[in-house]
Amino acid sequence: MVGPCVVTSRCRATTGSGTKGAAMSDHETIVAKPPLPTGENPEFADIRLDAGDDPGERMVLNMGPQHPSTHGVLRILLEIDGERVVTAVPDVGYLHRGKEKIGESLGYHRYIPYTDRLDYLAPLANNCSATWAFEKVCGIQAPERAEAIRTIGCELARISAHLLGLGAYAMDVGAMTVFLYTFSERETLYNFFEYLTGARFTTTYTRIGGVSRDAEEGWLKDVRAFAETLHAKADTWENLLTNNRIWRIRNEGVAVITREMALSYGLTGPVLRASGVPYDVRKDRPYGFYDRVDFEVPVGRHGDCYDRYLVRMAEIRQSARIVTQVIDQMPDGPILADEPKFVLPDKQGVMTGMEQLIHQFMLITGEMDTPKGEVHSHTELPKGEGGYIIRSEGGAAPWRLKYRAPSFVNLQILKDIIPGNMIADIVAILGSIDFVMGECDK
Amino acid sequence: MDRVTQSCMVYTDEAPEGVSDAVKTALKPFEVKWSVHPEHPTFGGHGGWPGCLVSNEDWPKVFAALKDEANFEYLVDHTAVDYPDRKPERFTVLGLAQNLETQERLMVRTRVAEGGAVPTLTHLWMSADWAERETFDMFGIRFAGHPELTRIYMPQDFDGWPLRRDFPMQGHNRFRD
Repeated sequence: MVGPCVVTSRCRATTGSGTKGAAMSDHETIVAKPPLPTGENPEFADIRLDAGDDPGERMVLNMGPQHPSTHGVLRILLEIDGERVVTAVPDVGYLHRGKEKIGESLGYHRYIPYTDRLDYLAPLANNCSATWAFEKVCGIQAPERAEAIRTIGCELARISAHLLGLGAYAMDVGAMTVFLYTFSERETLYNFFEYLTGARFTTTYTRIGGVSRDAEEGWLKDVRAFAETLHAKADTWENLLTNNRIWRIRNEGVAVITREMALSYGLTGPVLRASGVPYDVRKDRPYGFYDRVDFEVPVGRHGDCYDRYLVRMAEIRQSARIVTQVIDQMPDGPILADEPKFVLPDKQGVMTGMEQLIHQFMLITGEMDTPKGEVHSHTELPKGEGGYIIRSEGGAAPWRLKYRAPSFVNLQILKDIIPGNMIADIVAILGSIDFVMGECDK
Repeated sequence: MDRVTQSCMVYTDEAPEGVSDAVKTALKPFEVKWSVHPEHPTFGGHGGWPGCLVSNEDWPKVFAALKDEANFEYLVDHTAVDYPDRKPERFTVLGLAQNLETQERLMVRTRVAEGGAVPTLTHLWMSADWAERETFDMFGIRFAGHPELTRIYMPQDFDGWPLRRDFPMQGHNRFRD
């Protein structure tokens, strides 16, 4: 196994020592934990901020839920002293749709389309994550070829999600050009998704026991060619940002998350790895095809916004490596498991044969008996570790379905890292955390 | 909906395979019942993690022991399961903790009746703050000692607890009811 690689920029040690040193020493005070909002804490009162002893000098500002840089409907209550933030209280829930309740009502097969709308920047990864969990409930295993296609889908989704995160992050901080570059690549990726799944955005591609359509040879060849050119393209994006003086001043030393803070807040994904913890579910508890490919886990050193950017950039390259290797080892065979008690028949058969039509009808309408038990299945999604805790009491629907949303867990640290920074730094911090409210609010 | 009066989980006194000695030592002072999966006796690895059932009073102490003695420094997930017909304790609260070096995970459970309170974990992990608020919001389970136990997803004036099994799927219709 290859150990974690530490991401560093080429001239980090030689430039901007004055700016950097000043910024870092400020952080001693910035990372100090602000007190939680105090007061009466009546259970149903709205969130209130304590104006302190000197209310005349401070004002309360609502950032969001419609602010463009909050990437959705996140609301942050800021208490500001001039340009400097004193207290920040993130408020979520504006997009809550009750996904878990829907899952408990509809059952396993009919829940998969709803996972598209969780992290809507990486729907394929969400489909796969749900299906891996549901297969564990049923006690079945998808065929090799389906696992390989899913792994490719997960990594393409990761590239797509990181590209959007990167482009939006750079645009919020003021670098408009990067967005145009990354979105032209996302267009290519969406074309790949469309060809594989039939939909560009809401893919609903996986099925319990496999995937809905096979990947064609020409598609695999095109994806492999894309993955190989991605390294050169990543060089272009890095040229725009990594040693860009404004980009570095805006990001270096801003919102440092230490290892202890990251673990206490339960952060996962690139945000955790930028703080120096090499925890990656793909590496530590491999699933799918990840135990047969060679890749590295990029880890940061300082835990600031700049390191989070570097880690994401390095992950794009690693994802391209994984895609290339999986396509090289692509196994042949069926794409659906032969488990008629749980797996839907293939669509061609449903459209032409009576037996298959009845079979599909029965499974979808709830004639499925899953074993009883409790299943924990967590996978590495683009935003962090996400997955399901499912308590099954038999039947076609879970008794309890709990989704661990990485964005929800990662957002909680905002109340600790925003205070002490300027208002303009908040957009950089939000961009570097890279969350999706559709997933956070479930 | 079928009535489920008991959870499917079965508990024994003997620790299952896959529980490390460090965890067994850390949990020695507490009264712990270990869970076995009735229909999945070989669940392990990525499928399901060993689990145990503890009392309400031991709930934070077990996590503190896991964190301090067995190096479980990461609270993965926190939620609850509702069995409306189970007497006397209707809810099971779940907490999944992990050791980042050995990748070992343990699912700790405790049972609580409607209106009861479970001690908070916020003094151990900051992530327990929002996790417990979410569980409170969805099930109405109180966490004693939590600094600010308010709803997090639903509006503050929302009536009812959405993820309870007896909450109607389409919500309360205030025009019809």
